[in-house]
Amino acid sequence: MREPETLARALTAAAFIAILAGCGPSYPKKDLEGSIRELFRKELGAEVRTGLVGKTLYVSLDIDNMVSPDLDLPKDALKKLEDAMLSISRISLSTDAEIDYTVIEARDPVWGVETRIVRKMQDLKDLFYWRISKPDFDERLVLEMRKVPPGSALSGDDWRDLSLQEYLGRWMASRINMGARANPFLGVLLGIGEVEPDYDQERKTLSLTVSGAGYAAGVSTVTAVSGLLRESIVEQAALAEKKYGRFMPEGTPWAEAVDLKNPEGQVILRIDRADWTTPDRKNKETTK
Amino acid sequence: MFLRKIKIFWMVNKAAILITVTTILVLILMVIGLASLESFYRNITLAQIPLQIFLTALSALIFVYFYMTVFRGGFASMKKGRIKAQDVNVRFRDVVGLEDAKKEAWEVVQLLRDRARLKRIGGKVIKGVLMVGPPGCGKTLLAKAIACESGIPFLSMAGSEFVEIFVGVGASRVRKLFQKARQEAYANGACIIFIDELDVVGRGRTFSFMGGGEETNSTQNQLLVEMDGLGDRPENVVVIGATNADENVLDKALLRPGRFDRKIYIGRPNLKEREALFHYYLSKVKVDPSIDVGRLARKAVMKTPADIENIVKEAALIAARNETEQVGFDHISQAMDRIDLGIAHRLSMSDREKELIAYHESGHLIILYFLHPTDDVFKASIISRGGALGMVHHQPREEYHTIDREKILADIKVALAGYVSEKMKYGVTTSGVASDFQKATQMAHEMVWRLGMGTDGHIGDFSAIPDNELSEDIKASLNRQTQELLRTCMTDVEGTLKKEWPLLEEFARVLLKKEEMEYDEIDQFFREHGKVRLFQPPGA
Repeated sequence: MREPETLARALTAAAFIAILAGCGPSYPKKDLEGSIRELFRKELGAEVRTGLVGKTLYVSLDIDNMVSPDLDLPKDALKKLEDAMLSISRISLSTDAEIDYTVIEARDPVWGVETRIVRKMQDLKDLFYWRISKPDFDERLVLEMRKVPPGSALSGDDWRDLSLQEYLGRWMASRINMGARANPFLGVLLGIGEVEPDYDQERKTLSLTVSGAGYAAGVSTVTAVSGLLRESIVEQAALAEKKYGRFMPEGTPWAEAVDLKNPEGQVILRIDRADWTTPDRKNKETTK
Repeated sequence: MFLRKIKIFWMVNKAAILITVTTILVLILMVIGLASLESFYRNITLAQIPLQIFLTALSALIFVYFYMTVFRGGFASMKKGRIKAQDVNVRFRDVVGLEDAKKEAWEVVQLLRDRARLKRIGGKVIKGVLMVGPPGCGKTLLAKAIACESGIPFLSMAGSEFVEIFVGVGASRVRKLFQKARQEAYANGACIIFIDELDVVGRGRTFSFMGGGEETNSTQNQLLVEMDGLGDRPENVVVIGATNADENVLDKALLRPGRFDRKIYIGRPNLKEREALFHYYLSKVKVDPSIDVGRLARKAVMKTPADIENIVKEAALIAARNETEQVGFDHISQAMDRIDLGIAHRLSMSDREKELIAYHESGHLIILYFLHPTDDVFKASIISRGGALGMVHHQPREEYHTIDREKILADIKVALAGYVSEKMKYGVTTSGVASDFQKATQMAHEMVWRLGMGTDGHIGDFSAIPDNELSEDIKASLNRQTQELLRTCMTDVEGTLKKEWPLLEEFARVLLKKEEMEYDEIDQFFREHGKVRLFQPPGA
């Protein structure tokens, strides 16, 4: 009879699959930092500093020649950065440690510039599971740049566990910064140099401190473009609400208001939650 | 030696070895590949396996569906007519008639039922039963009854289903059929395979001088091997074959003991069985209770059970067309005429032509009535049917299994009577005698050349001798005797018709008027004129 043979084969195949499925994570939690160091050594040939703070994974590394005299981002550096992002993604997905956010701090030690890339792990999983598109995923990135003392060692003193609100604040700031750089007209018009986020948990308020020529001390902060700036912030806040509002507990907003402050800490604009959550916000007139 | 064994093993099992090794390699690579993946990607891959299997199976199903529909004419062609035991519900009591055949079949059933006891004694269940007989006599029905009464599974295939254009397919089907039967026999103790139209695969094998043969040779060889080949198989598989062809047509190897051990001859039903058949089939329709079933049975001489069933069905259709509530004798009579003689279609003929046909047919009828020892006239008609412009339908009043000289001579006389009648009436004859002459000549030829009924004392079947081995003298003599026979018959016919000419004329007149006359009317006509037939029917 053929039935027992077929059954034996089916059971063997099932056993195979079960064995494979039962294999543990590739990067166990108890040796996560060691695995990261080894992987980065293997893939990038780089020594890294790493740490898991709460549910946020940090990796710091040096990438040479991120700054080039020909004003271009060198391909080698870019590739290394991409490899670093890929490596951290692999680890985050294949570990049993709970990781909500990954932060890569890539630094050019010679010139003293650091780029920080923050990702929410759920976005990566949503991309794998086809819940969000690639362009959407590309939008969900926090990119920050800062200057550091040249030649200084990698440190993790300012590492802390990120919350969703902080992440969203940094995400909005990152998008405004990138927008200002990407569109030179907008940058000139808004006069933005840099936007720094800060989230007040108690007041549930996101503060965006803007620095730049348009916001230097003594310069009138009530400018004709404040309406445009306001609209930009409302747009980003609405986008943040749309993309990440579902991660907040039911009935709990991620922020009640967004304050735009000058470097002195004065509130230039206050945007309430109602402004970015009402459906007809696009129809509101802008101040010319 | 050892190397040779390895070589032979490799040659015989090459495909299986390659497939096994490839499968193992693929499995190993799959395991290595999965193991080398990081856990997230591995889990994703494993999670997608069921979906991929499902999609592959779905694609295969869609492909098979389109392939079968477009190229193979649909899935119905796959069905090979395997009737399962649970589909068969025919008992011996449902097989009407065939008393002798049923007795022999019952023996087979007893053997199959008591196979355990038989095995203890050391006997073996028969391997094969051959049913021979004309078509429509109940061979398939009896085979089903055997299976049902024995309580064992029943697989059925027609001989034509084994034959395909591609060589080897037939043998493969035989193997599969027997394999399935052995499985059923293993599970149930025994199994019956019924092969209808056995002569398609069972006729004598042909061997050409080139060493090859027909495709059916390989099919038949496989059948021979499966029935009683080299290996002694413990399962009880009984093969029942049915054929219309003569036993001599089948291959001798098939008929030898150990294969088709038993032969059951299933012939046409006799009078009593025909009555039972009419009772059986008429019980399935609404019928006039006053119908004389005995008369129907006498009228249906030489009819098979299938013919009788067809007659009853046709009668029901005629009754429905006539908007009557039940089937009557007339309907059955019409049905018989329709089946035997064809549908009547009136041609537009001149009066002269009609009269000529009436005289022609009357001639046949008079001779039949007065000179034929065995046949009765059931119908006389001048309405054209089939290819004939008129006809006299006659049948023996009971079954005869031999034909004597008197009967053949009477048949010749009847055939010639039409010609004689035309000649006597009009002085000329027509082309309408062609088929009559053909019949008469053929019968006379048979009498002299094959049956030794000539007058010169020549005995033997001269048609079996090749023409070049027969002397011209003998041929001339035999032909002369044939002609003499025909002339003698012609003389008798002329004498009888001259004597009964007024009766013939009267009958022709009546027939011209009525166009068709049935048995009763004909009988009444002759009685009214004080005439009796040559031989009285039983009970007259």
